[in-house]
Amino acid sequence: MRRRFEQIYAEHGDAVRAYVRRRAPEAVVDDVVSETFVVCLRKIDQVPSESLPWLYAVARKTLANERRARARDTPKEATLSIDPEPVGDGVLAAAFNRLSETDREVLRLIAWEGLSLPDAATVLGCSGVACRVRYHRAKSRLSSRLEAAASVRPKPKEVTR
Amino acid sequence: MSDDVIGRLAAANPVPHDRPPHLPAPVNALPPSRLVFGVAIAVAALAGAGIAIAVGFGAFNGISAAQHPPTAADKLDPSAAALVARDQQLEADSVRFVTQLADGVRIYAVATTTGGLCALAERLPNNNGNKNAAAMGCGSPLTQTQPTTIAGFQANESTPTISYGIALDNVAAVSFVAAGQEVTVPVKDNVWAYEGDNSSINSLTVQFKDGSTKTIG
Repeated sequence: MRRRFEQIYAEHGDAVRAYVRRRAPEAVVDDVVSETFVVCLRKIDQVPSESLPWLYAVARKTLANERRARARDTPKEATLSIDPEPVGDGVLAAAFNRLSETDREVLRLIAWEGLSLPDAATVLGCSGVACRVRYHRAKSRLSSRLEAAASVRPKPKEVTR
Repeated sequence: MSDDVIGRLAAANPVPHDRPPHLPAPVNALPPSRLVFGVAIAVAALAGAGIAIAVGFGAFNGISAAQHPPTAADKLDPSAAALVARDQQLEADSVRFVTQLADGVRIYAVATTTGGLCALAERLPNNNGNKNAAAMGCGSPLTQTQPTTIAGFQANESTPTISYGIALDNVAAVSFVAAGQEVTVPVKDNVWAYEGDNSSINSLTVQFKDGSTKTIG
């Protein structure tokens, strides 16, 4: 059991850390990664042979819990979040950031984590068909926004603020 | 087009696969004497650049409203300041007040340790009525091809979503289509703001002071 856990950690520790860093501020990365592998150790008998999508799913839930806990524990503090975004391509970043979180997450899993659609479905906790539909719609919306950015030139109008 | 989009998104991965995260820092193999010499050179260079460091960060290039020595106006609400200070991605002493919106929300520029630019909106009213919430979005420094940031916040359920951005000095206004309407918002003190959800903004076009335009998203 312990040997298997060590093998999983050695194989996927960096990937899980990268997954978290793509979605959360650096200050919480260590905590989320640690908690993810604590869950992995606790449920080692349930971890499938293809363990990476399962680990991403655990990290995703851990991130959600961490965000909720921060909001609950510090009601009088500022709610501050830094969402990592596409780098080096401002047009893409602007279009990507205006998609819904649901759209962004499925696109991140495919483009940034390099997952297949079935593996992305495991992470998202949805069926393969639902994930495929979600992915194609998200991709289409991103494409539309990028095409609009390349073609539309609204004329200046009356100033409003 | 769509597969190109995924390729383009993959190329913009903020944590690329070919650079494993958290690599140990490289060991400095310089002998002690050369190390001391190197430190002396670095100290001399820093002393020479002292004024520039005090005044601004590279991430603020082209944003005059953020390029000033630290002042009392740069001081954040304590809760927001604590969060900024403990985030290792941010240059904690880089917070610079940029402007204040009509409803009292204050906009700050913050530099990241990797040279990125963050736009921080502070003193947002919480559900409990206290104006101590904040929201922040970060990205690459502004350039002529990406001359403005765009972010949004909704302080609480009873207030509208505000979309806003920090723009370069040569940007006069931004135009976009929101809810089917074409809207133009002027840039004042390097900041534009619009009452409406930024997820509904389409065809964002920057209007430069020389009359040219650039559609960025």
